[in-house]
Amino acid sequence: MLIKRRSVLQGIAGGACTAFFLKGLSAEAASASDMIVVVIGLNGGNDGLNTVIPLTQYSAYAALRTPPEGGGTIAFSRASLQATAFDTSPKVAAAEAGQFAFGPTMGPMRQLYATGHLAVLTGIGMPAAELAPLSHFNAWNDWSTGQININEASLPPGWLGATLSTLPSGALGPTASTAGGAQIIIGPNGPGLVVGNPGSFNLNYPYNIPGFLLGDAFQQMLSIPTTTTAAAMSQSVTNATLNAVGAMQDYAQLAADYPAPQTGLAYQLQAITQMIMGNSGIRGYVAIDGGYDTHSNQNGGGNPHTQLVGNLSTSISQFYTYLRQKNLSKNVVIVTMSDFGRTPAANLSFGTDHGAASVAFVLGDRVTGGVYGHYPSLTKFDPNGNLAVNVDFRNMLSDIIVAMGGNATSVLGETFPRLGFI
Amino acid sequence: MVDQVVQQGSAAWLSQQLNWQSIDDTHGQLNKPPTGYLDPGSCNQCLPNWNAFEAMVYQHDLLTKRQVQAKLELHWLDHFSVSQAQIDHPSMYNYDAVVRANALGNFAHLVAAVAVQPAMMWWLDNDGNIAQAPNVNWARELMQLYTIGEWQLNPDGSQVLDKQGNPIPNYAESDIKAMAKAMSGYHAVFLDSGNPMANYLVVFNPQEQLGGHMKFLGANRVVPNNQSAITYVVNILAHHPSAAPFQVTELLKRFVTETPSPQYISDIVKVWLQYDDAPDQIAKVVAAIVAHPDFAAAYHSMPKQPIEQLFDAMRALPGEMQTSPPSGFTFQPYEQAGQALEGMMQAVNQDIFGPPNVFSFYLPGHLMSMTTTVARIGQAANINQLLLNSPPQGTSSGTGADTWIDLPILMKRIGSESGPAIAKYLLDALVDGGSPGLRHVVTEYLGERPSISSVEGAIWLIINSPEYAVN
Repeated sequence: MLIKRRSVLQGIAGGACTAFFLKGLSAEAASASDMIVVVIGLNGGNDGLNTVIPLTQYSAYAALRTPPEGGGTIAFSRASLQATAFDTSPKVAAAEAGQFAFGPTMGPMRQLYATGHLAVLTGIGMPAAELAPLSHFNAWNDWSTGQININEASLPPGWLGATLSTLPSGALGPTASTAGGAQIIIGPNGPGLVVGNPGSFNLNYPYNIPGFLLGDAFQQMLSIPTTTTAAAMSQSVTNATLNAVGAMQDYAQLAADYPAPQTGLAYQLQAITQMIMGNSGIRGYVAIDGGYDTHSNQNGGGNPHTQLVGNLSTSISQFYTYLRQKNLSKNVVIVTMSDFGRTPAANLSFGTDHGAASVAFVLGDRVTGGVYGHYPSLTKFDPNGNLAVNVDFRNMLSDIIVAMGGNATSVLGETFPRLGFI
Repeated sequence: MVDQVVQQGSAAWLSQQLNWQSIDDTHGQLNKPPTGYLDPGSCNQCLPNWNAFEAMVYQHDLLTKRQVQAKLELHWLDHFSVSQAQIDHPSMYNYDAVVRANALGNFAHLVAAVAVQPAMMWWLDNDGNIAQAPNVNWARELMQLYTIGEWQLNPDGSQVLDKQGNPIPNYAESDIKAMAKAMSGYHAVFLDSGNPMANYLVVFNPQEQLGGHMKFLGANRVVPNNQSAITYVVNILAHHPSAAPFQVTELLKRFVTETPSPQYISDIVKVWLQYDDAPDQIAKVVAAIVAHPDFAAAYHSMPKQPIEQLFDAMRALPGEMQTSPPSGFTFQPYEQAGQALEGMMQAVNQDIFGPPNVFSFYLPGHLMSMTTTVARIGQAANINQLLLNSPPQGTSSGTGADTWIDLPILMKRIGSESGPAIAKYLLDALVDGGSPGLRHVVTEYLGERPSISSVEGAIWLIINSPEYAVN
């Protein structure tokens, strides 16, 4: 038996759920004009040097990316970068044209840059005070919480969850992930919503079991007092799931003309589009793509870096363009994050190892496009031989938190100067 | 299984389980390379049928009588997680076999055995790592994820702090680079013919490795310039002061409580160190974990992993699995058995050879999400797929699952058609009797003379209860 919204309301959670659900809908309408942040996580440590290439340091770039022992290169040729060199649109500083190029597979990103709404943050990464900046665990936790030197035994809430916990949002809660549990959406008051996609966020009673009686018993069971924290958590998650089902099934009907997704990330962004279109009241989303830990065969093999950033470029472009077409982009800001950058030099496996500075993108109608930070030198490195960081990742988060109406100092534990991209 | 524990007493049952070689594994012996594991024909680069491979592992986990070993096997497969998406080769079969064989053995032996499996060598790029231009991926993760962790730890699991109150790293980038050079020179080499699951050798090229006098982790070392170099490095790490608290904390968090007390960690660390070189070190540690007073005190404080939610029910009730084709059908049993479970595990995002990111580390709290709840209560991983109307695949009715809970056998075991008796049996088997509230709901649902469908409904209810969701 397919459980539809009506049967969820009548059969499982009864009147209490109806009241909760309606309250949610009205709260959603009230918060619709507020800023919505969509974080795209690039899990594994994105190679910023092959994402945005500094054309003014091309010779050093080509040398670093070509192991002297021979056998090939992971450097892009000058010719292959011509078509993706930063645009000379009047909306962006002409000086940047000719200085930088996106990777050759990132054509759509170049077009987004030309709109004047794409900020490219260069030299971004962990501050020197982070004691273990090259660990996936550490770096991902840092980016997720906006803090450094975290004790894993007591992780603070995610920066997105913490920021939104003090701001208005809908009854489904302030945050949602389309990529499983994610620290970034966890707030001080709740874990955030985890949605694979609205269409599959559905329940079915076993078809051969007497449905009404089972639903009645199920409802009773979920109100039995629990005696342990873990059981209480299970009960809470199950109840919240039941409450969200009806809304998710409605959202699943939306954005039917969204460009057919080709990748996991594109599917996630389509799901987020449906929730935004449905006026869900959720103000912080996270989508995560993996495969960026490119220690070997970076430009070849099954899922090379060129393909990853190509998919990223296409997926973001589809998402933002669609929102613009539907007049929904005004309040949406898209932000990328990744563990760290990678080593400037290619290794003999034609990959790169864990490094320091990378690039990040911020896109949205409210964003002032351009290049922020300084592209690190390709001849003078940090003490570990990596690209030197000149933009603390928390500084970027600070600008976004402030733009959301949050208290950046409280969330990040420090005050940062404004970078000015939003 | 429950009947066996009751019969033997829990202490005797555990003791026998930890002495795993003494347990007949005939029930798990369906765990052979499935017919569908390889593409037709014999070649040295042919690709495995991953669904069949994972089904094979689940099949063994469900049917084997070596249940504690199976639990530890899953723990170590997660600890040393590799992705089938990258390791697209039948040598994964041996990877699983090596992890299982060492799951209750000695930690240093386990790490050393995993280190030279092609699956791990490919996953973390130590295949082709040469000293002249080291690839540091393996050396870094060997320390951070697999042995000692990032930070210096006290025996009670707390971080060692400097005078400013900051944690102290266990290693620097220079240590990682030195150890990458020390463990370089290894290659997985494929032979031209033979069984694709065993037609490879791990060879060592001394010209590509830096042995001899080196300094790392604060001491001067003499690294062998031969195939024992990895074992040499692994032994240093396995006996590092942070290794015991790091591993013990992870084991306790996986099996007992997400917040183990410093005393609990400290007590188990002593056992770990006492048996540091014993061939059954991990078995001794598991025995100590269970015997500790904090183990019983942590009852019901740990969320079940999705795999436990499915498998615990199958083990507690008479779970059956297709082991031969039904009359008139010719499908390959090894190709099929376990695939219903494999599909369910994918639906709840606990695909054991498809980790969600570069460091698969399933913290149970992270698994209790709405997505898994939807999968569990919804269609994808619904226990109902395993209930009465799931006869063997190929027959004309039912859901077609190859694994099912055999209700006729269950009813025989219960020995009564009375609703209260059935409720008591199910609650005892699945939730240790359950709370008064749950007992009331289930008993009322069943009524005096329940239909077989209602018995299914009662199982469904209990399995979806918050009480069943915790260990």
